[in-house]
Amino acid sequence: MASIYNDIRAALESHLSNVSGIPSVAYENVTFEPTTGTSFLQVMFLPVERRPAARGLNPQQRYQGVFSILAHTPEGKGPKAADDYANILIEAFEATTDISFTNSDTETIKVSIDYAERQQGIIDSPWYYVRVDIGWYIYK
Amino acid sequence: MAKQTTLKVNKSFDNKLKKITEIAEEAIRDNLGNIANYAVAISPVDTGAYVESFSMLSVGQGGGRKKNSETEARRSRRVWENTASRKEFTGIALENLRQDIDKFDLERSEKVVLRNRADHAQDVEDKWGYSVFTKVRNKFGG
Repeated sequence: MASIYNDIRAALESHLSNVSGIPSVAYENVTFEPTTGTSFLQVMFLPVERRPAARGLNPQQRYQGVFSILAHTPEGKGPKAADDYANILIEAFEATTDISFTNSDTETIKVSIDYAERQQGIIDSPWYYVRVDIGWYIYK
Repeated sequence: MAKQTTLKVNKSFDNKLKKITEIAEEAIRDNLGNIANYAVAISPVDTGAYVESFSMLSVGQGGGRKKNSETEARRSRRVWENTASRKEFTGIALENLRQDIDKFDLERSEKVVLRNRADHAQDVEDKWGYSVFTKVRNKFGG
């Protein structure tokens, strides 16, 4: 069912919203005006694959992709704040974590985390950001 | 009581080994081709500078293609302004990568590096959200 993507996104975003110690989150296609000097996270939901997990008619599908989070912190203040956010995010989405989500049809799905890794810090004035990529998959 | 047998490694056996090596190399090059096709397919194309800046190299090998999107020639032919087609730029990019793959020394290299040296490659990845390299890593492994 195509709406699985909505549920996967909701599972990942609601898991993120329950993480403590993080700044405001800019969600995709939602107006967000960052305030210069104030940290924020920016999320991107990146579906990559949908493949049959078995042979035969109506096979179970394996969905996989990436939930990317860019931790933006003020430029010129050193890397610590962005590093700290990256650490929090990696811990919250550590590999082998299973994230459950119950949709409006009371159907519960379980998104599994394959990996969580960060990239190097990048300056994009007036921000310094670190990207954290969370690989996820689900069989449905 | 010990047993042993002596086998003659004849020319036919040697030929079979060569054939197996050829088949394995072909499979690896096919897989590299899949990576190239996917990377180009999910890339944004406007002036063509980004897709034409892809290279496939051995680990530790420097350099790679680098095209500038700000030149007069590039800016006069843009997909987003319908003055060029996506297909012509992606065709060049795929041909570039095909040449890299053909030249790739599989016996000496254990890993391959996909690189893009365009000035705006980082912006394409993060700022504009195309996440080309992130998706390639997720699909084909790190």
